[in-house]
Amino acid sequence: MSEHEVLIRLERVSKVFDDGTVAVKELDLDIEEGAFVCLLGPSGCGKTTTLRMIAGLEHPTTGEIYLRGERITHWPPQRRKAGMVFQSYALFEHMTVHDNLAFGLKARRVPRRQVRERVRSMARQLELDDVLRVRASRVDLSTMQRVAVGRTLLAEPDVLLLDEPLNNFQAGLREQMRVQLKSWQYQFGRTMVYVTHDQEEAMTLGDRIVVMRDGQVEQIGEPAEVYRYPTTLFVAGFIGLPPMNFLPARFDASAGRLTMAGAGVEVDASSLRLDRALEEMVVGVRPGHLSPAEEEGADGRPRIRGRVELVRPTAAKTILDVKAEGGQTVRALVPSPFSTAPGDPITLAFEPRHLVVFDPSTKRRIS
Amino acid sequence: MAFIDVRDLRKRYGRKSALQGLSFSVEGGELFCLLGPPGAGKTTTLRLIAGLEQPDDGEILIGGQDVQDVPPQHRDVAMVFEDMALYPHMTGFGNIAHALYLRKVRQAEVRRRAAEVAALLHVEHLMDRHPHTYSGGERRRVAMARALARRPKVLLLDQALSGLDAKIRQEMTGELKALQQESDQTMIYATHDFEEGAAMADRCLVMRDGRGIQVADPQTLYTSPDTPFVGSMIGSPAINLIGCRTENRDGSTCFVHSDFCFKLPVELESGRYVVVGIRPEHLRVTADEGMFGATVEVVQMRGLEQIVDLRVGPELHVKAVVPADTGLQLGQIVGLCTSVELVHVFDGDSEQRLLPAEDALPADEAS
Repeated sequence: MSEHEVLIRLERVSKVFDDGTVAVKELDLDIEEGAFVCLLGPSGCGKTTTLRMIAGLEHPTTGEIYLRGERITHWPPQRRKAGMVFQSYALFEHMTVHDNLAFGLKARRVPRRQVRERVRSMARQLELDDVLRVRASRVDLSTMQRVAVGRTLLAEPDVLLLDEPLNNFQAGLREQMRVQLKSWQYQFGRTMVYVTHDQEEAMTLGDRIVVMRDGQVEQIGEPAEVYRYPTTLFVAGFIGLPPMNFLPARFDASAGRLTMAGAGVEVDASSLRLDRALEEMVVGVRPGHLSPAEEEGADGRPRIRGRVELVRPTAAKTILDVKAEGGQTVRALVPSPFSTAPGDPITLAFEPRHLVVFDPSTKRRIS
Repeated sequence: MAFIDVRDLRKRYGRKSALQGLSFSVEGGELFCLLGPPGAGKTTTLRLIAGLEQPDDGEILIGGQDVQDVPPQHRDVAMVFEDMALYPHMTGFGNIAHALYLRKVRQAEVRRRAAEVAALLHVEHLMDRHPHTYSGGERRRVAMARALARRPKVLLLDQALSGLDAKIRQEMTGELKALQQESDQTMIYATHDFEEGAAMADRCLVMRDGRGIQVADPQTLYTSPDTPFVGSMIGSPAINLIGCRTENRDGSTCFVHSDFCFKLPVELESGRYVVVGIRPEHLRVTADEGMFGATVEVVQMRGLEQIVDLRVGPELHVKAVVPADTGLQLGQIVGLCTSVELVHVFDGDSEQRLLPAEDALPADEAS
């Protein structure tokens, strides 16, 4: 992505609200032209405040914001060409879909014929042709969303800002809308900044994910990278469902082996590419990387032996809670159908290269 | 004899028929799931069992007794629904105790039961706090604890976990299932979300338009849905359903669609209109032509896997779930294939399953 121009740059941006709450702390962020960037984090992490500062609805307490190199930190929203789509869509409910789409253009005194043409073309692209004459209050949620996005796009913003736009949708519809949002990025070639607390949404939509916590960035990266190489324990636990298993481990320097007593398994430390060898470490392994295996095997993979505690089928995958011989419960995600019952013995094998290792004191990755 | 027997239940609201002859039975200690889209009649069914409404026709037996003339408060049935309100002026303990005091349970017993359910649902720390300090998940937990403390014969849960964050929902399905395994509480859980229902249920009844379509354990519903509708209710992303016409060619069957055709080594008569169902996770991307070719349109990352939207032709799009390390470019043309034993074929008119054939299923699933 490095060949792309930086569209928006946030430089050491902080926001302290009047009541003293520090919403964002010294945030540095580059948003490249055409990218789909997801700001992800639990509630209160500062993601919405960051979005609002990009929109100009809030101003940073310190730090600067640049648009194509030009400083816009204190510009009012209307000067920025940043189109915000709100969670509530904020449509004019008494107006028709057509008038909602045309409203901004008319307000900017675009000639009538041009308004008609541009609204029509947008309606066609968003498949709104059939509802143009319907009042906004009478269309369904997904249509409202399309109207809100269409109205914002007609203002030809440099960047489209979306604040949890799919919160109101039911599970199935949500997935459809995600695909649609993603395809709009290709179709309209717009830069998008998208706020969500839902890690799956961020993973599926974003070209890049900015994981935030307590007003600070924990990690920025492509979804696959954040998933595979989380830099902190927080990111590792926040991304992925079911969440990553964390196994406390002790390192025996003389034998070069890492023992996870709770899971009753040990691995050769040389296979982990550790930056540092500490006496105590935390080993993370994704439930999807634990696979049912023969009790003993010649494949050399480390094995966790235990008993099944809980079986939860979820269509394509089944979630198994397994009480390991060492006493710790680990979770595995295995392909369905998988026949087992609570109390059954089970052996789970994994590849050492899939492990990530953390320093329990700094909570950062060291492998 | 089953613990709950529902026989040919019918209910109309004005001109709208909510239940059109619904029958099913639930064993004692079972967690039974009613699964269907909004409007399928799930909530109506629960309300009839609880006695909050009377059926127009049909019988409900609880513990062998016809409850037609038993008022709700004497049915010993508790119900928890999505937007369940707790008493805001009472603590968690007060909320749980209130229902018991009304039933003249002695003080010491109330304390004992409250402590027991609080431990089961991990809400001990909420007992002294008021509901406005609870998170969404905590509120649901306390509402369930309140219902359980009554020790009802049957606990009815109407979308009790809907609207919660995916992560909390997954935690709670695990807890509810563990709770049910320990307590042997009979539960009926209504939901439109298979992942939620399947994760907990011993058996699910798939409902549509006030009727039962298929009842089976979650694995069987996934591997051998009886109709395309059942197939589409289960799994996310949803099963690809493709309307085709059959052509018999030298012992194999060609499935002909306006955009493509593919051959499977199965025998079906020629000229039949069928619906072919292929689950996204059962499609593989191949280096060669595969069974049919398609263009990559949208790629969404989902942890160890990615969801790919593919265009087969102007009329046909399919979704595939492939490993995250499959390198795919937008616009790339790829071959897709699957295994014949994973393909579902339904009759186009009757919607009944033709493949996998009943005798091809393992004996315990076919019964």
